[in-house]
Amino acid sequence: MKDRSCCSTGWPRLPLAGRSYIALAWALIIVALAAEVYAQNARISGRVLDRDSREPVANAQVRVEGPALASRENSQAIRKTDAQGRYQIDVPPGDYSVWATAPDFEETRLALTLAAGARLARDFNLQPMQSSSAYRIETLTLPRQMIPEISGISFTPKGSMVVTNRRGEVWIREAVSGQWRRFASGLYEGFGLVANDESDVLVIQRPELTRVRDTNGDGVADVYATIADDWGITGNYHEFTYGLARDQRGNLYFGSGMVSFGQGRELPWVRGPLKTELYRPWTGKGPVPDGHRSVAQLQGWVFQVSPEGAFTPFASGFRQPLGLGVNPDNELFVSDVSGAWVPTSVIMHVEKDGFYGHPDPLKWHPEFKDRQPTLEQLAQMRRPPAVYLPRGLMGTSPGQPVWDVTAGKFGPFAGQMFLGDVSSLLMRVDLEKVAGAYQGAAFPFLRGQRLRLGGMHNAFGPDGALYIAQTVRGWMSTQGNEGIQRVVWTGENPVEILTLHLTETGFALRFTESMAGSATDAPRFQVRRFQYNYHPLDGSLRVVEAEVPVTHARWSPDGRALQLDLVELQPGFVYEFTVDEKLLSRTGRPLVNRSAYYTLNRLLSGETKAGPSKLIGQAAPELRAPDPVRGGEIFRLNCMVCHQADGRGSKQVGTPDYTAPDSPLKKPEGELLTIIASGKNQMPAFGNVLPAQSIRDVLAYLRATFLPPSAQPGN
Amino acid sequence: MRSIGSPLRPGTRRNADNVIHVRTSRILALLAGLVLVAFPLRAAQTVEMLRVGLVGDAAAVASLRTLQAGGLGRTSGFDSRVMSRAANAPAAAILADLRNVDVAIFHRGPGSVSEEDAAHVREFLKSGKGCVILAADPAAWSMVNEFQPDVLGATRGDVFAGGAPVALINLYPHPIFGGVSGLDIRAAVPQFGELAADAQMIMEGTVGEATAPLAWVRRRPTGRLCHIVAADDSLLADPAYQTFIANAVRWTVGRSIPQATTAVQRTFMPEAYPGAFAVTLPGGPSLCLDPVRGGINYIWDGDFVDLRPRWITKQGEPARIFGPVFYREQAWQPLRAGSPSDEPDFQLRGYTFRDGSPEFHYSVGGRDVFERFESGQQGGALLRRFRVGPGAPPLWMRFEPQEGAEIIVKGIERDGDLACYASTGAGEFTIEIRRKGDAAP
Repeated sequence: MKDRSCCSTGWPRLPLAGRSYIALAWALIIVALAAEVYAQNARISGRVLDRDSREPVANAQVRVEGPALASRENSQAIRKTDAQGRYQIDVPPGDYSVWATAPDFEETRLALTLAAGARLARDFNLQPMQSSSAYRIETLTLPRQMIPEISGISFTPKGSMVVTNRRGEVWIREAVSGQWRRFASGLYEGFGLVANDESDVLVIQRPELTRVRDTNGDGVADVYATIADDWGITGNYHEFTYGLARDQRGNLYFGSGMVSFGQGRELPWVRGPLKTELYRPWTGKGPVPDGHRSVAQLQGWVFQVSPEGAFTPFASGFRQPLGLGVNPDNELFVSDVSGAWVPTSVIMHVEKDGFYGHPDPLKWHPEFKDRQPTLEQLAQMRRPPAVYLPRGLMGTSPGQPVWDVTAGKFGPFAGQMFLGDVSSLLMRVDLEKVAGAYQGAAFPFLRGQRLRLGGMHNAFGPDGALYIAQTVRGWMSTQGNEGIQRVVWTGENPVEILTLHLTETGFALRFTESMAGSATDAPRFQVRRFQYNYHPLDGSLRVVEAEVPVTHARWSPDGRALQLDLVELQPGFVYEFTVDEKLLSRTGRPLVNRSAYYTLNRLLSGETKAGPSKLIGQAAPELRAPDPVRGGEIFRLNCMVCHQADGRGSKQVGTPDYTAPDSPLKKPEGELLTIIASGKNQMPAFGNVLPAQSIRDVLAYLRATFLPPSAQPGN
Repeated sequence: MRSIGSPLRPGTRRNADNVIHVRTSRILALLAGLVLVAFPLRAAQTVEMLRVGLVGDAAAVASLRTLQAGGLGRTSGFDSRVMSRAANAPAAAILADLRNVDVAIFHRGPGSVSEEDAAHVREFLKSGKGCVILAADPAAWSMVNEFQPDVLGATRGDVFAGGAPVALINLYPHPIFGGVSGLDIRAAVPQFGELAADAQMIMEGTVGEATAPLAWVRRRPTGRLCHIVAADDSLLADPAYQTFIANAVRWTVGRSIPQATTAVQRTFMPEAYPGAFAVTLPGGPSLCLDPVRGGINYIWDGDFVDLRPRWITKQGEPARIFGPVFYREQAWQPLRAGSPSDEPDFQLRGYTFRDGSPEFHYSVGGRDVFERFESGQQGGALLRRFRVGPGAPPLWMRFEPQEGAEIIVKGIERDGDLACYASTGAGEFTIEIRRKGDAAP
């Protein structure tokens, strides 16, 4: 047998002790590197407390977002508090926003700058939410033989509830008797359904859209007819097939999610062609930030099946089209979840042939499959979301949108959209058409009150209650979090912002109840605006964030309508509204939810491009003098891999030698700042990752460290 | 049968002479009929009657008798006897009869028995006969050192979930649940862990995020075993639970299970495109039908797949199969229309349950093909019953050489590795796949 030991390659054979020595040396190096990384980290810790009772808040979420976490999912780190309300998060040094949220409490945010090795103690005092008795949450009792991973819900015209679960079953609760029966089984992860009647149900499962019928009247389905299966699947755990929605013409809509690429062990068995390469190759440093990609045919698309059974790839560019719904005007809306090219979760009005942001599905597009659109071209092709759902108060992974068509049985929000989230949250959306396109406001609707996690599908029942199908298996603790809950309006009028519409000078708010407002109320409304980056990084931080002063607040005589005039309005921003807790209704009741987010894509004039702003100066934080010490930390975290610790760069990588006589660091400062922010040749852009101050700091470090004194600026 | 006791057939003369004759012939015919009816019944009882030994200590006798009078009664096809020693009786041999039973049910375990009985138990466990264990208690098996984990296929731990009743009862598809509905378990159960690799969990309980096996089956070389964890007095008196136990008894000796239905689950199967079907016929065998490749990827001699790897984890491993695979196909689209070398156009159109059996519907080159799976006449064989709709292109089927199986084609012409349905009209043919070495009936 051929000797394949090290000697055959000319390497000296080491005795075992010698090899062990090398292994030990490697281990020590790794430990030392790990220790260095650990030493560079900063730590924030503390407790989350009830502001009023001073009791600890267990299971609160403390979320840290910042540019230094750009390589992580959604640029954030999240920790839950323990039973004593304690939390602790280690992060690289940098600038951060820290949010603390918990069911039944208002969200709290603070901004921090953490230096390397810093140990910062911060307690959060959460303000309890105003309890509302306008809505009651009830948990349905299910058969003990039904695995309650409820992943789809629908009602028949007679009012029977039909649900599917991730074990591939369909169960029906008869409207008259209230008895449950297992109608169908054996499906591959049912994930949404439309019930024609008690014996005829359309179900979306991973590999196909199926019509399941009971034709012999025994109450159990005997016919499983394949309606459509024209897209690819790989067996990857994340390629859910989402749906199901039907318009009044009988067209069915569903979508295919992308795989979470990485392990790839399932890929030898792929239905349809396989394309693992990214449509737009990742040119940044390190691994691709978000592993989701469209490797099998038409992944990341939304489909339409006509009443005649014709399958049409309807629209593209979806990362994970989690929720699909059709509004009373027969228009399709789809929710998608934050990640690469989807800066935060969104709701989109989806029209045929539209492109909605993620470029990878374009590899299956007949016109675009062989093109290489630039980022600018993609941004132009992309149809903007009707509504952004900022992470935190507006959840993380939004579910299926449904519309209140209960004619008042669900309270005062007739015609508005409701949708759940994988977190324990129910949201409300008030849309308006501005210059021909939908945009509008998203509000938190229900948080806490024993609302469970995983509410990804929902449906209004014949009783006017909102039924929520909940499943979290694989993502969160299933303990007590799966099943069906319903939200019942008790008849009490909730004090809420009913609508939030754009005007020429600001926003018009309408309340569900007469408010005790006054002409001096402008300071009671804090308005901020921000943007998100459309980019291949995993989610986007809020950028260009600024407070927008309210110049006037004019109440209608009945106290139900309010006109807020702002210093200026710019398209392309999300406007965040926070109402002071002291604003009460005329009956002395506070608002249940005091926050709203309006996605302003277009002004009433139709203008979509932001013009000169009075706020830019205010929006940009005042820059400090460059700090080379802090710049060194940023260099080690973000730049050293390519540029090397000694600044001499790498010919293989294509990075220059900063210490050479012709060092590029001798270029003018403005040019260098632009290169760092915008990128050049192989150098990726860091403008989306590092704040302006950090870019200045890192340049100061580079010059101070790698240029000889004679070449320093000023000499 | 219809002529017995029926009015006179047309043309029969009714007169005084023949009254007695007619009456006599009626009586004879009646007697003959009774014999004809009774004999097969008796014969069937002789074939079907399962001899079951119910073993437990004195405290279990009442429960075992309830079981004997219920689901394990003679009318259900069981000849069962309780083998138990009275509480204060001397340790005489009472388990010698284990040699004469087909299946033994141990309630908790044999308990404190004589050395002679212990030898009978040890002998039984190696005999290849069926073994059902209810609420296994290792303390009641002290005379069999290898009982836990070797025989049981698991190790008993503390009470599950601190004694909380299970919130969910998860029944994985298995013929043992044929005709069983309304199973419910309220009492605390012990937690069994370290399940053997060949232990197929068929029932699982859940409290919060914690799960506990409630029943599993094993096909041991020395005999089949089923362990049912919960078996308190109220459960043993529950008709649904009695049916469950009776089915377990039948399964341990490979008997057919009344009302067992074909199990069909679309899932992620090993060595198959995603979305393949796992199909298990009540009388066996089990198969993986791959609608992407367009054929049966493999057939195994065993029960339904274990779906837990797919269902319980986030990443979702393929389902697990138990039992030897004796047939495999790999070629792309073995069913073709036109010519065997034509580019295949194969589409799954769905499936329909007819009398409990699934019939799959394909479109092959635009021609409707229906395939129904049945158990073959030979034990463990698969009968593929095809119906072909009318159409112009001939239908071809390609066979692959099999080491472990033989293929019998009827109704179409076979030439080597190809068979052709040439008719343009509707018709039928069958393909039976038998495990090699199994004797034909």
